[in-house]
Amino acid sequence: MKKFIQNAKKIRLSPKDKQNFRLVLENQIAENRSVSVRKTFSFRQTLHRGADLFNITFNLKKYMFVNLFLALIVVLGGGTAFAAENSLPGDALYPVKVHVNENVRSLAAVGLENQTEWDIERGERRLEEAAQLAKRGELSDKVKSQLSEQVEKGLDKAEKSIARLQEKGNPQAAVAISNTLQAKLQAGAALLINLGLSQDDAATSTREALDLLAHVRNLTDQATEVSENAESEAVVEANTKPEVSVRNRKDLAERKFEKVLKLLEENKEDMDADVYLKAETQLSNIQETLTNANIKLEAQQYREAFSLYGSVNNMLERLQAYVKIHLRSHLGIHIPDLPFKLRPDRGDDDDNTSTSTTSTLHTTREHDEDEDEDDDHEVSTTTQLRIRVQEKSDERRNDDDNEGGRLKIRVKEKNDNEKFEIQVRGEL
Amino acid sequence: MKSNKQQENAFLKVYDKHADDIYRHCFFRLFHEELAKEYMQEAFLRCWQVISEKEVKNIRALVYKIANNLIIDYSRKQKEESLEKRMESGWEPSEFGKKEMENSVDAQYLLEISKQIPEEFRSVLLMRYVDGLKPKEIAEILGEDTNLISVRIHRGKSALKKLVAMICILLILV
Repeated sequence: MKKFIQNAKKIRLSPKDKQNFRLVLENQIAENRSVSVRKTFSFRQTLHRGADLFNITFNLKKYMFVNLFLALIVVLGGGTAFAAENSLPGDALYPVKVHVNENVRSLAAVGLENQTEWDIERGERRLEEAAQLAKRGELSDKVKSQLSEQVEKGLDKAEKSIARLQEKGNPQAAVAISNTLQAKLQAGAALLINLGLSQDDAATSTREALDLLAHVRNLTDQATEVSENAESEAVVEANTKPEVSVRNRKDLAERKFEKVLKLLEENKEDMDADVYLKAETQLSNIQETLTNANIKLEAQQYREAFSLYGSVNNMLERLQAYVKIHLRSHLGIHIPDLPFKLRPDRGDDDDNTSTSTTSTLHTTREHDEDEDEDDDHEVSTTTQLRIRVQEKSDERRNDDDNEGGRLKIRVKEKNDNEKFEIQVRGEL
Repeated sequence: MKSNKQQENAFLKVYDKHADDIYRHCFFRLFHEELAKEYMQEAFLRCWQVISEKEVKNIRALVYKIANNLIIDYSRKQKEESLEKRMESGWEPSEFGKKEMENSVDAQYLLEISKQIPEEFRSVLLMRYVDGLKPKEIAEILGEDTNLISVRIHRGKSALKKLVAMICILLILV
């Protein structure tokens, strides 16, 4: 069958015929030039991998380079190159992995978006290697620093590329890439957390893993900031063409959803049961959110739909990153819950389906009328803080475990110059 | 919005990249070299007419769609012809195409298989495996459901594999 396809591809026009007809076309175009036409062609690059011409061009080029990559593997000795993929720092084949395999993949990544995705993946590979070494008890300080440096390098490159995408007027692509970056760092951190918790506290490697975790968390915060900036830019662009922007996000979300669903279905046997169950549940929740987003879109509530689709994309990216890192590293991982706002409504159909918090602050100041004039003014201040939390169902109100959240109140009073400071921190 | 110049460049770029694909597609539907050239040309010309009047996101898909419609119209107008008659009137691939193949046996092998594949499978198999189009793109071109196209591709692939195996056996025996 391969030969059939190869031979079929050889059926083509002679160069002369092709050139002749091109001249005919150019002639036709020249004749039409005087006709007023609507300038409607758009080369807006998005991650819409459907039938957009530019993306097809990218895909065709990538296809050619993937073949080159495979050919190189054959030349090197397929077994060597593939075996190197599982190697870790210190192994004999590790230089092949980093300096041959990864460089070839760099060449295959054509275009700014593909190159950025590869830079991020490269950083992710370093994190996984660190986790693997920590599991073995072989994560030395030196190796930890080297790997950590490379993760940071990958992040720097990704940030620059994201900025360039924004400058090029492609905020949607910048958002997608930054979400990927954030998700992969979070997944890497989760892996290290799991490792740190599951091993002997006294083990040096565990401490190294936790050090690396602290560093990765900093990088994650950085990535979150980048992601938020990219999202702001995307919102600005979306305001100029709301419906189109929302539909693009919808397409991306639906495609991504199918991809993650397929990932889970195909790899169920290779995943830990608890990880699979958590992932499946979360995917189900994300699907409900996607449905809500579709409802908003139908109702032409473009702003809400845009935000919801963005959140769905973000969560899918995150879930995918967690599952993939779990599959590749063969290490356990804890997939954190979805943010509260993305958890689908549960329980009855009561209209009051949201949780709201209201607070009122009353402050009274009393001066002692009997105080001596010579005394310093002594003032007593009474502060009353009333908080009402309205929960969505009786079930939750009666929940003794109070999983809804906690509220900490700290009141600090300064009597100087009648100033006071009140800090209220809450989490629901 | 793109300027006229950019539109023209984009259209010509599609031609440079996909003229062979469209020609090949026409050839394997019509089994006639000259007709295939003619329909390929007509498809691109009509595509340019459309582009000059309204926005087109996917030029490649549009060219395929037009070519497909032209071929369907042609097939409806023509009566069934025997394969021998087709061969007489230019059924075989051009000399240029033949030279590209390793030998004339490959050319014969290709044609024997192609003519045996049912039409409904032939076009989708070509678009999928030779032209590299995705099922969704093929569905858009043919105006059909993506799932249906996927099923057709799957069935076509099975049918093709069986055909290849049968013809291999026949060639060995002969």
